[in-house]
Amino acid sequence: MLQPFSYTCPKDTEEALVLLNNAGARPIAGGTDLVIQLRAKRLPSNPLVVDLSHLDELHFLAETENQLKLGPLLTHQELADSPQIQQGAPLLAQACRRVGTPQIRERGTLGGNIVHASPAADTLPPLLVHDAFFTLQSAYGTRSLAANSFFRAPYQTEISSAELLVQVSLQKLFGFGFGYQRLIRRQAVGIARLIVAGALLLEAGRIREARIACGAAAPTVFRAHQAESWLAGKKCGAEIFRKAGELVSAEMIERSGVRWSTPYKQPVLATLVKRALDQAAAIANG
Amino acid sequence: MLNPLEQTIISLQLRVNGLPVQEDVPAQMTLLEFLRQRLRLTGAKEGCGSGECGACTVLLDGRPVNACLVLAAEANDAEIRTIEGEARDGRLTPLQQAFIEHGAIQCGFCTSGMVLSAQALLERNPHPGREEIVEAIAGHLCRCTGYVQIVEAIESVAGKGS
Repeated sequence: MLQPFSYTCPKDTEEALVLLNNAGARPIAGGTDLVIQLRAKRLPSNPLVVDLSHLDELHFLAETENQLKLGPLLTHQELADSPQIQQGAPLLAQACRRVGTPQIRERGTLGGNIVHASPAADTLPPLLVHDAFFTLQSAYGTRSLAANSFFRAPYQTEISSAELLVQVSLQKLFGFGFGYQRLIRRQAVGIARLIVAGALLLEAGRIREARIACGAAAPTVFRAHQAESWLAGKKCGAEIFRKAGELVSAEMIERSGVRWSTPYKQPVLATLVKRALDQAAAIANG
Repeated sequence: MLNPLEQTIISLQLRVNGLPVQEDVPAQMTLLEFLRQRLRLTGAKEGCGSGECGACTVLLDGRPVNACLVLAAEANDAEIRTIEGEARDGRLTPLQQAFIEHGAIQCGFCTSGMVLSAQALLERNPHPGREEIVEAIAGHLCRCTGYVQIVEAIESVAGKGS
């Protein structure tokens, strides 16, 4: 039995935003996280559940010359299956294909994955690699926030309870090669232990630009800026990628401190980074 | 402020196994509870209640979902298929028949969900490979068969027809 709550199904975003101004209002889209919370009776008493799942205006995929614009109601399955995503953001397509189970992928949405803000959320490292930004709307106005500064702590973000994530914009990365690594205890229904999403732009065998984002490694998803700048201008090679992995692990420890899992995660993250960069370099060269 | 004693009642309209259904349900009711308690369609089971075991799987607009994680209210206007709607006029579907022939059923708790996820796969892709089959049932736990017979049952249907 779920905890008691009130339910409303607004006809458009405008109405949803008015409803979200109520204290205790909680939006629901796919429900794969919220219904679990309702069953565990973990929400403050008698919330108002605002059902967004029928709002077609939040369910879109558009493309401009330099950007992919994604509606928050796109499901993981839709993103994994979309030729536009496979082509323009292959890291995101790969990440979505691995979320939970087929049933979860059919219901769970991109917006929900972002706003729920699990440190291990699968879509987040690819979004950071693409310098994504989020459009947040409330009854009072609209603002944009970079994905990189959106996540405060595990399950905590900059979004206010009266705001709705209405668009996710990804920068297209032309000429980049991509690499994706995910460590997990089992393939289905697993929660990632470590995620690395990497992208490399090469010029005559040298790295013009490197992008590395890590998930499940620190309290929030992060871009490994120190390793990225260190890689710029260097020649691709196993030794360079190995060293970059070590730098990323050091950044993880800076962020999370030395924890019980550090002796394990430090070398493993370094290895995943090396593998992701190897993959990215092979694609960028090819 | 909402009155804590006030229960939102939603008037629900949907199709279940091809038939129109109209019911007033409390907001708290999940799609699984609606199917089992109101419509007495008890083929879908509640296992874990958190989207991990797949025993509650039904098809919502042709796609497999965990009915324990969907609010009944969210299924408004939807087309739901449960295991009870698969056999027609007492005749099992080729997939159901294959489950029997391959010994893909033991206790039966996972079977309705397994069959529906596999059926959805076959409707999307009539000739899936083994990997796609395994992927399609990855959201179902079976504690009896070890999965091999289930995969073989689905494969036997995947190889046939156009």
